[in-house]
Amino acid sequence: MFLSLGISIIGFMIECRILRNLKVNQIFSEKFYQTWLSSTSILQIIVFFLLRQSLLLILICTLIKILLPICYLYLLEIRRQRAVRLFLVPSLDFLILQVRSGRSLRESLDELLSSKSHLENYFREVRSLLQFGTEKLGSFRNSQLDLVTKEIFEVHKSSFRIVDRLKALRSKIKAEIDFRQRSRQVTSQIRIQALILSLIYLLLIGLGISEFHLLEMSSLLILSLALFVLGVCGLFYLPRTFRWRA
Amino acid sequence: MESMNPALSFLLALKFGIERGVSVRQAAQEYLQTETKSELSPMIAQWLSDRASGRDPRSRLSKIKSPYRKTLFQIFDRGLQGESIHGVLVQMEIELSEAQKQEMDEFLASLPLKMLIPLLFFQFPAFLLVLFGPLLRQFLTSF
Repeated sequence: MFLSLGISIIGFMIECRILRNLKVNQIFSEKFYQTWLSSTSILQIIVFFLLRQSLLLILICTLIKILLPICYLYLLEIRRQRAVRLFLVPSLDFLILQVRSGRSLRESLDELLSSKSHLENYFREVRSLLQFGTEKLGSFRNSQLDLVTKEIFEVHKSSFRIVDRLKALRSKIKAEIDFRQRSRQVTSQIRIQALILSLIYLLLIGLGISEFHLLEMSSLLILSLALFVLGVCGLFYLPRTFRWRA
Repeated sequence: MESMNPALSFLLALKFGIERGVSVRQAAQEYLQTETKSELSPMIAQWLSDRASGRDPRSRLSKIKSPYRKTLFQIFDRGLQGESIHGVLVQMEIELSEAQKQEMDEFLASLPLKMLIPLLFFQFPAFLLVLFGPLLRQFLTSF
């Protein structure tokens, strides 16, 4: 009982620390942080009162709760990368068109924001940074977004050959995105194979445990698991063996 | 695999720098600041320092195996000496992109074969152990 309470409290403290870090780094807004914190506190109390007799279940629930914000962060990052991949070049196309039609860079950004771009938050931040003249480079945790921010600032400052510079930026970003798309083709092939193999393996283990009492042969199971994990690691190591010759 | 071909990445940085109106030297310095882990960074830094101290860096070309990288450094050197290199860089970009695409295609083609190694040596035995381990045990205990 006391051990369960201890695990619950330590888990809750770790989760609070992770959430606070996310709020400090401005990944979570104040409101989102408060909502998550209050709901997780209530959930922690319910979990403790329902499962206080089973130490293992309390431990699993606590671990899941700690991993949740990390998974959420990972999903956010995937979503952001996807938005950059799909919508950064079209947004730059839009900016170039607007500037070509005779608008200033700021007006073009306003027009882009009013057209509900998928990178709206990013461009809104760039717009407000331009307005207040504070350069906040390297703060978007994405090399391409940082490059676009830097270039938009420089273009805004110099107001010289705006279209040419934006076009140069677009062509650089496009080349990088095209490359990443091709490299993802390789890694996704490996990931899918590893995922399918893992699912089949898990099914087989489940079958072995239920039908052939595989749990009684722990050494065999551990050896098989170790070999499988080594195989998966080997699969993921494959793209790293690639070296550019050209 | 996750990172771009360093030669193409350097070329794009040079081209981007020229299009922005900065000098080739400045574009190379900016590249060195952003791409600290690039394979070419030490060579570029040495090249820049050689040129700054009046030494001829072209003797370093013999150390470069890739003809693409060798040509790129020759173009870079011409740019450092004040020649206009934008047009050449545009042509070189097409060549390098083709070479990069071809290398990736070759790797993709060889991937199924390479994937067989972990599959045959680790995952297949792991599957066999789970499948035939209990049967083998039953067989041995039956005697």
